[in-house]
Amino acid sequence: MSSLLKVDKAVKRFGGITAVDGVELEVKEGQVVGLIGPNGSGKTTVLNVITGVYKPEEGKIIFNGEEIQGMAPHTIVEKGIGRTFQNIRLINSQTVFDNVWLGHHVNSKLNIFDIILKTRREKEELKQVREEIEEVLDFIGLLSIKDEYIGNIPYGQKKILEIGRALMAKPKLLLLDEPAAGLNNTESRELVQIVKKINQKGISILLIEHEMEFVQGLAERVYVLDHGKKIAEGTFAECTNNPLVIEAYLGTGRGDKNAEN
Amino acid sequence: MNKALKILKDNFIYLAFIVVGLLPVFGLPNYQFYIVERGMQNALVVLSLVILLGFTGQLSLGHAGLVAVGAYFYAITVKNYGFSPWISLILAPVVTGLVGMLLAIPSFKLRGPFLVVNTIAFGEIVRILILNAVDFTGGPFGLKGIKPLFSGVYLYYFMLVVVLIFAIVTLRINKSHIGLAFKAIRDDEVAAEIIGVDVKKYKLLSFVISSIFAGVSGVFFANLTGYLNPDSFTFEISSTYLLMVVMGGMTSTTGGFLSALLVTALPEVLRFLADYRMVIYGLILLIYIRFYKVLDIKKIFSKLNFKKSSEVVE
Repeated sequence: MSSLLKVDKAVKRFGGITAVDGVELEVKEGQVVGLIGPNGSGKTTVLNVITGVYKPEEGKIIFNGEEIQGMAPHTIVEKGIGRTFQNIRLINSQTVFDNVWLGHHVNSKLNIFDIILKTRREKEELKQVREEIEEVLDFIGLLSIKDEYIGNIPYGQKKILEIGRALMAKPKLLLLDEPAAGLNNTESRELVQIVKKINQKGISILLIEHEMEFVQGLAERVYVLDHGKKIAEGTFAECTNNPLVIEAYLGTGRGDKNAEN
Repeated sequence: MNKALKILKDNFIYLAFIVVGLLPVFGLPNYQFYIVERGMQNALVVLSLVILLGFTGQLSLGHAGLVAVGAYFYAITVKNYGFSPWISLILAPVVTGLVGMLLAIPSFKLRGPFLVVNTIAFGEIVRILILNAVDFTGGPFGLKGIKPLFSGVYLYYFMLVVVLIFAIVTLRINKSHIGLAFKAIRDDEVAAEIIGVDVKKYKLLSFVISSIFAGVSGVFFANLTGYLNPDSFTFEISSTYLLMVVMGGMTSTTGGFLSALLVTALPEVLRFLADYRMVIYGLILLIYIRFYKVLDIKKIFSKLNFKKSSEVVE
């Protein structure tokens, strides 16, 4: 398996705070990788650095053999990195169908003149896109609500819909930012199945979670962050038995200064 | 019944155009005829704002400036340089589009009220430039005797066809992935960028399309009045355009077209009230805003209780 994504000693500072401090991680083709850590450990910042929302001050991000740090977010999507958001960011004024359609945006070959003149190219692409959207909606199990407006659908479906939207861009790597947060047990189990199915299609996945249980069933390899630094990597079992990880999640248990104050 | 309603809903815009197209048949007096023509000319600016404000969420209060660029370009090239009116009709929107491109650049960084102030400044700069470039524009004395494309009822029908074409363009953009990208920028700019929408490119596109519409409207303005004066392109006019687009329901093409006609005609219809005219005009608008969105065709039809069609891809 060759390397798909490699984060090489990335550093991101906000004023005096170093949110990401020399993080190294690697996702190989076809792999599901977990990125875990307590709240505020810099997981989402790592994701934002990968997707181009923030430019890292130091270090490299290598995707598919190409350095992508500093590129605009939409260019990175074109390269093949899709993502979902921790707090749902769908277009609320539009329907389920339209939101998934928006994910196809980067693959569209139509320009404004095709649309104004309704060319044959436009009709052909739209027919094909419509089929693709229905396929994706069927895949994530939301085909029956395709005409609903986002405001009318429950939270769990919105989370899954974001994954569908990301899939429409045909990514090679999918970044999921806390996909299980706020889901109940049933929804969470369904989500695990969907993530597994996506992985079976050959799409690599980088999963961010602080719920350990969710990561356990999915990730082949886990990285643990704390205060912006990588403190452990390996299989899930290796990481959870690492004393540094236990300390990060539960504290040291010997003379915690905060506890005394 | 539902089927008939659906057909009516999908083609309401054509119905509106047919009604306006039949007006000359009933033989309107000259002045009223002129008001309807001005209404159509304003409708183009409203469509332009539907795209810019309704779809993309970029509020411009300087659209009178863009209309002025189109109008003056047409007038100066035809009158001073002897261009054929038809060539100027094509060139004026192109030039306005280029000016709109410059206006778009600040929108990459500025948001909300800051962008609005920027567009107001643009409108004022254009007006003051026109006022002072006396050699070209005639300054405060204006430009007289501009050769029109057509005269009388032919101009009316030519305008009607052009407005119809632009309305169809607006509808098509609305139902395309580009329209969707515009709305994504309006609703959540950051998310749009991260999903893969090139926000700068689409803001630029939106401004350029919008400016082209405004430029064509300017050409029609010059055709209708035959006389241009900087006083026709003040901030007050820009805010009237905003009023029209808001009354039309912001994103509705049909609503925008109808509200442009109504808001243009209202002060004239109320002329019999003499001194109280503007008071009543304001009152009517207030009442309208209170029962907001009456003109939004989509809303009216959805109230008639049949399933909302979301057939975005046809």
